[in-house]
Amino acid sequence: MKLQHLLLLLCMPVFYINAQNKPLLYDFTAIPQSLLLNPAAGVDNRWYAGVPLLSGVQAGAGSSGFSVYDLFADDEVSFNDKVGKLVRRMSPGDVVSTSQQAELFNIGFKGDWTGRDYYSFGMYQETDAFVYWPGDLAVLAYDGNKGHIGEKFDLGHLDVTAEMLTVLHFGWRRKVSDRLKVGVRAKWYSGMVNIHASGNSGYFVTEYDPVNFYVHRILADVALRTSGYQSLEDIPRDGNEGKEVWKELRSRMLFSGNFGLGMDLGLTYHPAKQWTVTASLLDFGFVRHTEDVKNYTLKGSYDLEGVELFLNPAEGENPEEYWEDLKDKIEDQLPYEKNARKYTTRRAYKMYGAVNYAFGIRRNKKRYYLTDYENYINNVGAQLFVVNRPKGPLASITAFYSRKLTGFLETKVTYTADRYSQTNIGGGLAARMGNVQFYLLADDIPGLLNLAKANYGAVQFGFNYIFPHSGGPF
Amino acid sequence: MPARKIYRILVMVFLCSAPGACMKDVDFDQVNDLTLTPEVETGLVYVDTLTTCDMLDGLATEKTLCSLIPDETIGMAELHTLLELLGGENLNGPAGRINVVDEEVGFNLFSEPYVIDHLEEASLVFEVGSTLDVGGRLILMMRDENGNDLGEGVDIELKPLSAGEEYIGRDTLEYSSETIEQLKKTNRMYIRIDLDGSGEIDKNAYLRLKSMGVFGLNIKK
Repeated sequence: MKLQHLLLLLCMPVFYINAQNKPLLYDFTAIPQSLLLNPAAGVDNRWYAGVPLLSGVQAGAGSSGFSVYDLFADDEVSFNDKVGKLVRRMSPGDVVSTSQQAELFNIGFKGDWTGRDYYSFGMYQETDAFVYWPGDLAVLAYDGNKGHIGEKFDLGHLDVTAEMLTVLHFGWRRKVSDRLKVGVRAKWYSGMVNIHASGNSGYFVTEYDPVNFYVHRILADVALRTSGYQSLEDIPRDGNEGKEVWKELRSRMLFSGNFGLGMDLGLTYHPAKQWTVTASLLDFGFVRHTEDVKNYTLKGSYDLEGVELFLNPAEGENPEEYWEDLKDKIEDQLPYEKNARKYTTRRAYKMYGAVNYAFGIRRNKKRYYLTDYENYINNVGAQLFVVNRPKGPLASITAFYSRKLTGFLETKVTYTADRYSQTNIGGGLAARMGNVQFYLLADDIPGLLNLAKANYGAVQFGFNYIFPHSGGPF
Repeated sequence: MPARKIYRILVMVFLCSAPGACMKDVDFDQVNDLTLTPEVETGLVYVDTLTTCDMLDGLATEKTLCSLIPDETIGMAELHTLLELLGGENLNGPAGRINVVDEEVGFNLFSEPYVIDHLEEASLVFEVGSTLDVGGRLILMMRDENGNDLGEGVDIELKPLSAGEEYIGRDTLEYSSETIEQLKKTNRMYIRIDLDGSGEIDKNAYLRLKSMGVFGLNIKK
């Protein structure tokens, strides 16, 4: 991959954002897709179906430490200077994250008129990439080792997880009592592309050496594992590669050979009449990578002082092939290996928790409600989100307010603080026209006013066909 | 206001606030200007220690010349005579010197594809340390695949050991962006060491060579 492509890839997330957290959709039960964030969410309808490819569309990205504007501002500053400034400013704790999701289909229905059981199933495609800024490696690439003699470049800074997969899922929610709903969702993963380099350690250092000025030392335990990537790399660059890549990816949606299992758990509990507590654990699962696997490892140690010349060569040595022999020797001794060993990755599991207080005028235009708690028009509360990442969990906290404006329109606003942004104000609406529902949710609205300067952003939208309660059994 | 109208207005407002409408003052084509210019410092070729014995053994066909010399020192004139008797080669260096090393080795480092593509300038430093009691000269030349010398090469005069201190001699080769192509043609390296034909030399005295380079790379699309 060309350097420019890599750089662009790192920055792309900032345009198509959201980094897994979906604070607006969580507990926004007017939107059926909220069941994907909590299988016990209080979605209340007879049945619904998402419009294929136009429901559950979500894209988001975030970065800590820089924005697109920092790099691509259309000004007089040289691009190389901007990159240099970034290399100095960013630290290995900074991250670039992007995620994307699109539903292929999504259907849900009540088990019977009582609403005791609610089932939902569907399939969606998801991309999630999470890259820690490769601090020392970026400095090495930008500066070289000159001026850094004696400094250890930490190979553990190579920490990348990226995956594209499809998820076939089936969820079941049961109303245990008037106060409690529990839900579970089983998931079948089909990996399309996976790149995994995490948990690496070691260093590269150049030191002064009495024998030949400098010695380069590598002590490494580094692995970059891929599945589904090599075959994409092998597609000829003849101008049609875009189509070919897309064709190849589509063929992997169900039968990639890299399969996994996972589950979501959730609950909705009403400790008091106007209070609701919800919690969920998502994507607790794994993917086993067995097809189209290519791994690169660097494990062991190696010192290189330079090229030792043996003047007056011994019998059998051919001075003409000196360099070639030496290269072979270095390649043999350098603990670098390519292999196709199968591997397993855990999915980045997520957890949500929320406390919600409902208040305001009761609406009483419908004949049936699942519970009394849905009759309030205002909800205010707080949510906690945690996603497990290679170097530890990342958390964000959200305060929200939602209101049913009219019979066909509900809105929700959020304020979220996380490491990407402390100015993240999001807003969303779910509007229904007849049986067709449209929703649009946008995180970090101030950032959207100038997306280039934003560190984070996320947009979700979709169309659903919803069949509400009609007043009798169906 | 009718519900249908409110609905349409809201949808339009949200759609118009979509990300693409909010990115006016950025230029993504700048990514094509990206050029990395790292500078890499590294050791190059080295000879750890080349003792008098190593040099002498290399001169005779049987490569056991040193063991034939019973004393710890040998006069250079006697050495010359001995070499003639044993059929040694390349005895006659310039200015009455004895040529003790004359070697050409394959060395393609600077013509590796990555180096050809990205090396823009280089500075090579060669350092010779000597504890020999006699003076001499070390010549190191970069040569192309046809054996032609590329540029002036390294030329270091060696002075005899003085007050027991190792003599250090240095030479530097500089390649700018105008002359770097010369270095990239390097296919082999030639090393020649001549020692003075008079005086005495200790069998355990040695020469050592080390070298380093500072390479300026230019990596762009």
